[in-house]
Amino acid sequence: MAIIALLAVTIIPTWKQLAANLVALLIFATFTGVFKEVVKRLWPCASLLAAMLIIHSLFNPANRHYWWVFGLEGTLYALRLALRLLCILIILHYLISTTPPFEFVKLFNKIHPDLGMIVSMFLAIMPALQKQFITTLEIQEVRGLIKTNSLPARLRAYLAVLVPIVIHSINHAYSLAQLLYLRGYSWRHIGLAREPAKRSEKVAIGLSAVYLLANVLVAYRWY
Amino acid sequence: MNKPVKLAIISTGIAINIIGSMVSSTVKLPIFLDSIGTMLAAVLLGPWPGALTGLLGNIIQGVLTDPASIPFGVVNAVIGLVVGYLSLKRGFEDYVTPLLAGLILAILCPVVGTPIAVYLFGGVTGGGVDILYAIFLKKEMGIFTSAFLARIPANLVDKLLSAYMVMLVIRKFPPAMKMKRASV
Amino acid sequence: MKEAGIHVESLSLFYPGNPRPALQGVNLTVYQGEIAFLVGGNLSGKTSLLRCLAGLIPGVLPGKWQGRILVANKSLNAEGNERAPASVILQNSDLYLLPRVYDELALPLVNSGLTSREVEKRIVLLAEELGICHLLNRQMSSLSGGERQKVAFAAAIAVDYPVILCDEPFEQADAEAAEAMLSLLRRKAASGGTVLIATRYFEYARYFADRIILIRDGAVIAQDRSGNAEKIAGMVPECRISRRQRSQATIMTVSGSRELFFEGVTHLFDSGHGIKNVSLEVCKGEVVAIMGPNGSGKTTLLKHTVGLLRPQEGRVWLRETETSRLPVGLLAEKIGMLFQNPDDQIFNERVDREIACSLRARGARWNEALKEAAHWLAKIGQAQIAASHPHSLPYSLRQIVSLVSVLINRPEIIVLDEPFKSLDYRNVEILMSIILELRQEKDNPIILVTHDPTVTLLYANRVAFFDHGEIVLQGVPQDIFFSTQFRNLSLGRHPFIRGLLDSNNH
Repeated sequence: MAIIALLAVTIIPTWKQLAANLVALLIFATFTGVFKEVVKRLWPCASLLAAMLIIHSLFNPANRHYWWVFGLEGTLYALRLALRLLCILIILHYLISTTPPFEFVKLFNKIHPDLGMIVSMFLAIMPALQKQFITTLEIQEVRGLIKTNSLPARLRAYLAVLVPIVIHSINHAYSLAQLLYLRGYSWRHIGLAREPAKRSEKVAIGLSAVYLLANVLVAYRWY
Repeated sequence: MNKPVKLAIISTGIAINIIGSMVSSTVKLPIFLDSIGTMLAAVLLGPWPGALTGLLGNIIQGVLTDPASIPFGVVNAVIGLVVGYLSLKRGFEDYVTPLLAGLILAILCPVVGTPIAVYLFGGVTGGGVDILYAIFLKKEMGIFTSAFLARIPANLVDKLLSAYMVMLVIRKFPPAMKMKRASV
Repeated sequence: MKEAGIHVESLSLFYPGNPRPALQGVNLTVYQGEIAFLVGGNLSGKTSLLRCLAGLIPGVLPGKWQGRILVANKSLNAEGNERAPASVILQNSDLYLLPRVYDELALPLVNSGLTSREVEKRIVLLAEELGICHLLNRQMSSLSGGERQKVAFAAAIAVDYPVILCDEPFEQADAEAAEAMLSLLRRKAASGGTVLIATRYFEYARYFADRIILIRDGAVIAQDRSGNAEKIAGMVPECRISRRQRSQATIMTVSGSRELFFEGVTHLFDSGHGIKNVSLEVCKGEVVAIMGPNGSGKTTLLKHTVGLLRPQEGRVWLRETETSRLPVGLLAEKIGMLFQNPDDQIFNERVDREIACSLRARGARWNEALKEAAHWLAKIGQAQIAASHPHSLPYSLRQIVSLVSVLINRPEIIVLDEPFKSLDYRNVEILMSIILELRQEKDNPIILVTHDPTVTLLYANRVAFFDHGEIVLQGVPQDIFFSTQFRNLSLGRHPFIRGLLDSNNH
């Protein structure tokens, strides 16, 4: 359903319509109770959006009409992009904040069981590797190798931490491969049986289809 | 080809990409160095598994934390292909191959990445590169050209450094591990 | 005549790039219903042998073997990619494939072709048998080391194979967990299974084996029924400390000045682990051993010595100085800390550079640092490894390399965080003698965290037992191990302690 919604957003041509979409999406997020979560996740993008507006309004080569130093064409261009980006990000963040990771694993599994295996192994490796990162960082700190006063020193510190971690993790990968072999890994994988679509999923797909349709109609009138 | 080893190294490569940029920010290096895992997987397994590592890495990262990184998976996949192909041809332990890889990628990555960045972000990155971008724009060079040119210097530094890091890591691999590499 | 579960005839194994065989002319037989122990030190070839039996060579790992291997009457193929009909427990139990416990257990069952309903039934049964029902919905990364080992064990035996192979399963398990595991293996054997356990601890074999196989330098040097354990015990000094060596252990009473003092230190993590109000003195001339189960706070305490952690309450004194204000770098100059695994820190491609790094970090010039490194390597009789790649050396030598890179800074106090894990007694002895010899002053104190009571007995003047973040017992090892209080701790059931008590009753 997210894909349908994304498609809808990418075809919208005017910033007015995008703004309307943005408001609609935000209202939708508020009603489903993830408004705060989505806004919190979007916050890091704020500087990027600001940079987009500033750069294009000041420097866009298409600028012909100026209001003081701000070029109208560039501002409009940036506004349209920024709103589109916001919509896309809201949809995706909405998806992420409402879906637990193992649902994504299932999705990858449906595409190809090997992909599912890679993704779940990655999820299993990550915490262990983070622990390894902290261990090595502490050891090298005790050895006095973590210095950040000059660029070469930082590069050395980087190597001192990264090399043991990489060697450890490649070794780890070979052990994992042994384990995979011993567990008889072949093509089958957990949860391969396709579950019938739930009612809530059908409703969701229906809603997003309506959303797409509405946007297509409005866009068509503009053309 | 040994499938368990392949799968395990691809997952590990994805994890190293993330850890690599974590380490880089911990020691306050000004570059990302977030494609080391992709390059390593490409050197160990070859171009296509390398490309898969890059692509999948961005998708997973996108799904878990930052969706805006998903489209740039294509860039990472190109890194995997180039490095994998080069290491098939020349190995990856001399001083020349990483230089080649760095130079090729410094051009190729922006070629692939700029259209995505222009479409999504208007070519803006939200970082220091934007100043350069603004200067090029001011010279009336067009959005795409400016964004493309602005990306080259940063990419050159990042990709060259990453490639040399990978070479160093590969060299520091225990000899026994290199043997395994040869047999995979 | 009983039937053989595992039968090996004139097996030789070569790893690529190494002209020396890892295994050579190995013959052995383990019968159905037996638990056999394969006892050998580091580099003896026991892991290689297990890899061949499991089909990992050539299935996943490179290597060429010749000879004949029968596992549960199935003849293995030196070329093929076929899995042996055996459950295998790998040495590193910190290894898992999937983020969730249930999935980890389900994976081998699904792969063996069961339907999801059968899988569920089997998992519930298995979890009840091993007492891990409460863990099924947890994330693997949130488990403790002991719990994770139980899950790894469960996943390995989830599919019922007639042969079970274990590689060093007692390393991470405390005495209780090891006993639980062994009693389950005993049941499997009783119902016709064949069990082969590789370990470097002879004492375990003495108490739990039906058959003992000794291996060294890739060849089987003895195999016998366990009734004759005493007869062959002397053949593997690297796996066993004899009574005579134990009686030679130094008993010293120390009355030096106080060097390091933990004064009511508390540091609790969100998880509830940590240390609570711990007070401990370390004086000149002392070797203090710190023991206790996983997660009891040993490492937390050690991290306070160099300032990696700071007390939430209480103070740490280095002589007359309170250390909470001193930076890690400065503390680490006075306190040398050796960590568990050398591979967590080695990043140079030459041994001498790796060692010189430590000096360089303290401001020495690179050339002098390299010279000094070579000098220290010569002191321990290892001048020839200076130019080697650290990872081309055996694990035990790598640990020596990281030890030298600690000692070269001439620390006043030496802190050892389980540095002997995965080393056999011969290597422990080499390492300890380097530490004892090369200390800057002969009475520089040593703090030693270890799991192995034998090491404590041999080297420590004093031992402190941790449990749930507190010191529960403290004193001279010789007295402590025979005290009734000690027998109530789970460590009191450790086979070493049993061996100790048995030999004293004779």
